[in-house]
Amino acid sequence: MTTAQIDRPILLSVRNLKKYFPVRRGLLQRVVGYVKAVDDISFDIYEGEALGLVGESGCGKTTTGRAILQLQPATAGTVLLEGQELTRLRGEALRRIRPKMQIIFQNPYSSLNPRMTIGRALIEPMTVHGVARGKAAEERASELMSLVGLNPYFVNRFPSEFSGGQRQRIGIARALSLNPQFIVCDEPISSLDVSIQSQIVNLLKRLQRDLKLTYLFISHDLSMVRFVCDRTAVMYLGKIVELGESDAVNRRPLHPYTQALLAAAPVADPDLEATRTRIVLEGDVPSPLNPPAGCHFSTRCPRVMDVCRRVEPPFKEVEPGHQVACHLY
Amino acid sequence: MTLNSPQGKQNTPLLDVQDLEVAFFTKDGVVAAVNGISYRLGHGDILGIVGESGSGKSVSSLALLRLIPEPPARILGGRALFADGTGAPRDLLKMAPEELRGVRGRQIAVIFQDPMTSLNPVMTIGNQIAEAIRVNLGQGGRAARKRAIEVLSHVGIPRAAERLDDYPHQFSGGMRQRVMIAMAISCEPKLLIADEPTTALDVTIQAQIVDLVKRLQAEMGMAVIWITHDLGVIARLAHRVNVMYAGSIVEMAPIREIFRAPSHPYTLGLLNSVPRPDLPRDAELAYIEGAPPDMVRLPSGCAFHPRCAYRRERCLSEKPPLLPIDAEHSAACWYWEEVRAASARATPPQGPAT
Amino acid sequence: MTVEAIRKPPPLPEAAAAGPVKYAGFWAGAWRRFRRNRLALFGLAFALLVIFVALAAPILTPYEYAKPDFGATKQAPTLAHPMGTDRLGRDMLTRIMYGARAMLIVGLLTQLAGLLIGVPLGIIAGYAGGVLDWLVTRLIDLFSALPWYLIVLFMVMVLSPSLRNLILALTITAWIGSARIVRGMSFSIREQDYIEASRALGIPTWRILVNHILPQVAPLLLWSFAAGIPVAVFAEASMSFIGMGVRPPQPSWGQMLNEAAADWQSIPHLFIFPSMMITLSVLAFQGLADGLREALDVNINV
Repeated sequence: MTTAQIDRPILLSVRNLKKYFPVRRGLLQRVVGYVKAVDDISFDIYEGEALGLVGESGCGKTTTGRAILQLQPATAGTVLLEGQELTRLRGEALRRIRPKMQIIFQNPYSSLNPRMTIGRALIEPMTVHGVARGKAAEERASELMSLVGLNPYFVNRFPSEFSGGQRQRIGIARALSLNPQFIVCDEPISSLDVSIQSQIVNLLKRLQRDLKLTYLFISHDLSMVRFVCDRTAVMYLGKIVELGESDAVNRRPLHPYTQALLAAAPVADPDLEATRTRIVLEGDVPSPLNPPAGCHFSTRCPRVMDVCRRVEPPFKEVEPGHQVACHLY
Repeated sequence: MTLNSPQGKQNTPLLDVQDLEVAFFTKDGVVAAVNGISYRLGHGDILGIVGESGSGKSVSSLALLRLIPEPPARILGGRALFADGTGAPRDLLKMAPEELRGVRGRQIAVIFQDPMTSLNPVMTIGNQIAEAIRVNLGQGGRAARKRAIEVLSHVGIPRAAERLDDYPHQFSGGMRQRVMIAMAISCEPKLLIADEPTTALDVTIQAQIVDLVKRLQAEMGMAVIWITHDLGVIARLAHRVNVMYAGSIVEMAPIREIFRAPSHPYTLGLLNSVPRPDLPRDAELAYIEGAPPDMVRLPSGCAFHPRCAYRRERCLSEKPPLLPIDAEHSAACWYWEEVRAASARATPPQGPAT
Repeated sequence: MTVEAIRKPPPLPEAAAAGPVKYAGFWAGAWRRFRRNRLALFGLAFALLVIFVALAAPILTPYEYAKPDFGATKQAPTLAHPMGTDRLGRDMLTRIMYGARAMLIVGLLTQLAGLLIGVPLGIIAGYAGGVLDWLVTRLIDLFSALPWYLIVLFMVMVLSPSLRNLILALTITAWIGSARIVRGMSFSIREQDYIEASRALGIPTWRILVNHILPQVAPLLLWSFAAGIPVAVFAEASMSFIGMGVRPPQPSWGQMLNEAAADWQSIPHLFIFPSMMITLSVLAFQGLADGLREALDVNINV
């Protein structure tokens, strides 16, 4: 799988992406600093691949997804989708490229318009982009419903008549309505009940296989990302600290932060919990308004060295296909 | 009470909940939130209560201290005998508000998912803890302040003396939860009820809090009820587990048993729907069919039957009681033997090589 | 992973398969909640009655509102004149009926004009944010700080008193309420994921405003519309009372009160019926608005 992956063409290419939010204070709303939500990240996503983006809240993973889709303008950097540069597109040109890339949201409640029937929510984008109209659009809406495991008979219902899991299926159907190639899945299961999560994960995986979709799968759950994604990128304070094959990242994590993240994730097995080595990180994530000098992780790293507090480690390949930003390697 | 217990007073549990029943009377109908649950909690035990949203796991625990909104909620029946060691066990549900206030905070403390809702935003942390100490222990002034610093450093807040005069918003989510825990343990309660205290926190912070509670429990010997939807946290922390579904306890077991030999289809389904580190990526993840039930219109018989892979005719009409499997393990399933056999055949879970 | 672990439940027998719960739609639920409120029901009934009477007045009454009958002046209520007659012998009931027209025209038209100005302003300001929002917000602040009663008075005086000019003057401040509400709603809806989803789907902005934001605001506007009517009714009555509104001989309740003022002690019915109608209609429309607010869950659905 490793080599097959590399042979595939690149669908999405992110270079030196930055997203800073200005912090304003005072009566005159003067800019007093920047929250560096995404701070110079680069990666490629291959066609048909699922790339996992893992990190804790506030690490910038959600902003990365939004900036790639041009839902929030990037501060700097480039995003190439099939060779086309997205960050300079505006207005109508941007609107016309939107069918290629879609998003699935975390919260299935706020992501559906409560006053719009499911059918209309599915048909509207199709009519707007001329994918299908009238009867054909209705038929396609029914097909989409079946595709995500919902009864097509429900098209005339409102979101309030569905459970959280069903709503998430509707959100997925809507994202598929324009035949996208690339989908950002922004924590698509984390607000669902445990017994529903696996249903949605199975659905996302099946759709990816059948429709040859490419995913950026954003999550805080490393074990779920390993199961869903071919490769995994780990983010900490606006930077990607490690990127590699999911199995490699899970079995042989290189970055001390990845190691800590894996160790902290609870495992549903008391014997294992009692015996496995634990790395408990001290303290909190520093504020992205004022990140530590050198390596951002240096304030919490159990293996911190002098150099880490002064020099930012470069992001380099230490094993084939396995990159890490750490002075240890 | 002691008469039923062959071992005598030594074994009087700290908390003995019997047939607790709670319902919410809403305009859409009666929500059967807790449907007659019974369990015991020993001194110094850590009990995990696991369930999904709406399973009644929080309501059943908060109802013990009348911390649920009445109305629309109403406790329809049951007893909750609490033995604080100073006399005969008293029924929490029959206590007058006055008496219950004496138990709340002093004997039984609660921490919540969102510490911000239980902390006063315009009062310094120090004053809030000192007030709790004054109200519950009758210590005032300098003594209370000294004790506040003590408990704050005890829960791992660095430079506790300096942070005493900070306001809640000056703390991070994890630190706020530590403050809540400090406040809860300041009066050395016999029982700590933790209502999803780590759900809103990141995994690395969650690990810190779980370890903290574990350490405090070992040092102080208090009992803990830890309410969560995450079986992983339970595995790390609890001695025993109650699994709840649709307002009933469906399985009750010591921690090792629940993971080694789950005997209710719901428990088995939950355990299997978490991807194991060795699960091949092209495999399908096990899942539970359907969605949690509408609590106003609970399914007949066993409430889990519409989603159950082990369902037979009988499950549609007869609600299974908690059937004993051995001395400490019971499951509310007519066909638990089949489930147990199936779970025994499952490959033993393996953790990541860290 | 065993086969058992992922085996599916057997199909349920028909009866036991709990079908999906049938939910009432939004408007059906709103009507159910509305019906529970007695004051609101009274308000609705009264409003419908007043509208009917105002429209059907020529059919309902044999008298003319403007034609004096000097043979029957200042009569107390009788069968022929249930509300008596005024100083010129005109039937009071007839004048009350025609007076409802003035009230309704002022109430409805000012509110409608207010919506036509306030809704687009509010929706665009809330959704676009930035400079546009700043501008509209300042405008709202400015107009709400002005003493509207004096402005209306001044305008009517300048433009000469008439029904049309009264409506014009009232409109100057009538848009504030709806603009403020719509701006707030639009601002909070903009942050919802489904708006971001619409943007991601390449839905044009005007469509987002019309198809996604406006329908959410609609129930609120309905309430705001009803709540604005009593204000307008009161304004019309008081303006007409001081002779700044409806010109005689066209009747209006406020103007009728004015005419009764001189000898209200000797002929109380001249005073009682118009003031009763003003009070009742203000109460009724307020009750209707309150009922709508509850029924439409205005606070919860924001």
